[in-house]
Amino acid sequence: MEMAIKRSEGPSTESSNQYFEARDFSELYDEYFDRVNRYLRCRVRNSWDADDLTTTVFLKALEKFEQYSRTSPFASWIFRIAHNTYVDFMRKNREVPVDQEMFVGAEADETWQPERLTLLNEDIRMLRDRLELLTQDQRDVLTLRYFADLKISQVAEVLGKTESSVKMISYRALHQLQRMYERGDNQ
Amino acid sequence: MRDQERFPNDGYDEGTIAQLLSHLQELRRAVPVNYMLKEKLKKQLLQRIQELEQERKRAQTSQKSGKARRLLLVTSGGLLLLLLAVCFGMWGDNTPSVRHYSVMTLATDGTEPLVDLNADGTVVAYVEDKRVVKSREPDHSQSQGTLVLSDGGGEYTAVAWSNRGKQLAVVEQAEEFSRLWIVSLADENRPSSKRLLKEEKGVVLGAPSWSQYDESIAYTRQTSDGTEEIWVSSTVAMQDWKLVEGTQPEWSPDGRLLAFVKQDTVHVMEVRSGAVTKLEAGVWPSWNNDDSLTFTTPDGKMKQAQMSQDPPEIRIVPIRRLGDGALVKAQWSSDRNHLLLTQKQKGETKTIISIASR
Repeated sequence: MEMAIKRSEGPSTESSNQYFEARDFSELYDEYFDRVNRYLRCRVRNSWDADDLTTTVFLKALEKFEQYSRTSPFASWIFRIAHNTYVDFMRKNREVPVDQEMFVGAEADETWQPERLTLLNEDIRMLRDRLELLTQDQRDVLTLRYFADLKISQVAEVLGKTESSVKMISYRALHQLQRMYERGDNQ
Repeated sequence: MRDQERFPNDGYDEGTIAQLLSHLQELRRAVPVNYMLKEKLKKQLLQRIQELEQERKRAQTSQKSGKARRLLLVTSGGLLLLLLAVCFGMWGDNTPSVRHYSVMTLATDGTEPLVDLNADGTVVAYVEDKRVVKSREPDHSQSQGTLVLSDGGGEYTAVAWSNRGKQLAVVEQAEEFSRLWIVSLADENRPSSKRLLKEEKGVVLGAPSWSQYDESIAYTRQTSDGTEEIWVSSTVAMQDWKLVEGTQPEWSPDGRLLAFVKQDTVHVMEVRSGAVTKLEAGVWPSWNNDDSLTFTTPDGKMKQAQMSQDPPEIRIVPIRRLGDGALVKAQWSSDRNHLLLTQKQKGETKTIISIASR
């Protein structure tokens, strides 16, 4: 029976018990930049702030990269940094009036159609207003799960909660959100 | 109306939850990614990876050769420190003391922004004859390197080391244009290079200050009507924005606070909230740790303001062996252990540049 953890050339499979992340920082950056940027652009209204936070996340990650164990998924590790950076930003930014800048803008996918862009823009703003009516935990779980595209186990790791607790929060949040959509709630 | 079509009110079954999930997925795809930032940040990260690799190699080399020597140095250094502490009667004192008096003298007035100390206090960068940026170690009387050569007409008016010590921000004034350059210093793998961060007609830029991770630079922008504003330019994202009216901006080490001068009085702004605290009359604020800054008073003394207290506690900080002359500017290095001092004697036009350490 082979017990030693083997270093693989490609990305590791996260389901494996012998998980090992073999890729170097620049490869991981290439893969995770989009998800981190998208997550922060979803959470912060001002896209400039979101981009600054994305820069901070990867600079911090590089400085701390030696502390990353490689035996757990990189997604959990990078999103823990991203989430903490966001929380820190919000704490410092508590008293700043909300910037109404729309975050869907010039850098849209070229396959998009303008009328569809406007529609999605409105949908995103509406979703964000509704997310703000949920609890902090519910907001964190939903954005990490559906905008950062993390698995339940990874969301649990980022937030320091159990998987069953994350599932429960997610279930309640989705139902609450669904009710808001049905009623057309915005306030 | 569209919501009701998308989520019909027929109970909370799995079907409508699935619709909601698919809606969320669609919205996730609609959030755009800043690919321009992705490319620029990658270049910055690759450069930092190279720097870290070199630092690691250097550390390994010095670790091997230095073990025995370190033991000797620690013992003798300890004894020496003990002796010095007894001599000065200053147990636990953090007072800066001048180690290199008159490293250089600069001939003209308004020279304060023309000289800066690198992160660990080992190299001084300065502008000579307004045309060249040079570097010099404090122990050497001659310059060790010419960092930038002017390529056409402009005069260099300010220089500032980045926190990592690999780059310099240099301000150039050429007739009506004011330019802010970022100069990457040469190393064993590549020659020095410079890129234009900001160029503007009809204004005067000055007093650049790098933020915590060198990802942005704050600077003064003086408009044609004399209004002084503090602007910030991102070094990675081609963005700039106005922060506040004032001059001589200085980021705190953690990037949370920005000290600046307005109407000859030192102010501190919390960057995220915009809350401003007014301190005392003074110029050239400089941070000596995350929540403490020093500045120069109108009568040529150095004062320290402790920002963690409300109201901030302000007191005079003595500098040992400072010599004659009023202090004009005291600028901490990024490691906060060294102090670049600019002094001026009464009736003299020359300014004396010295270095103190603590």
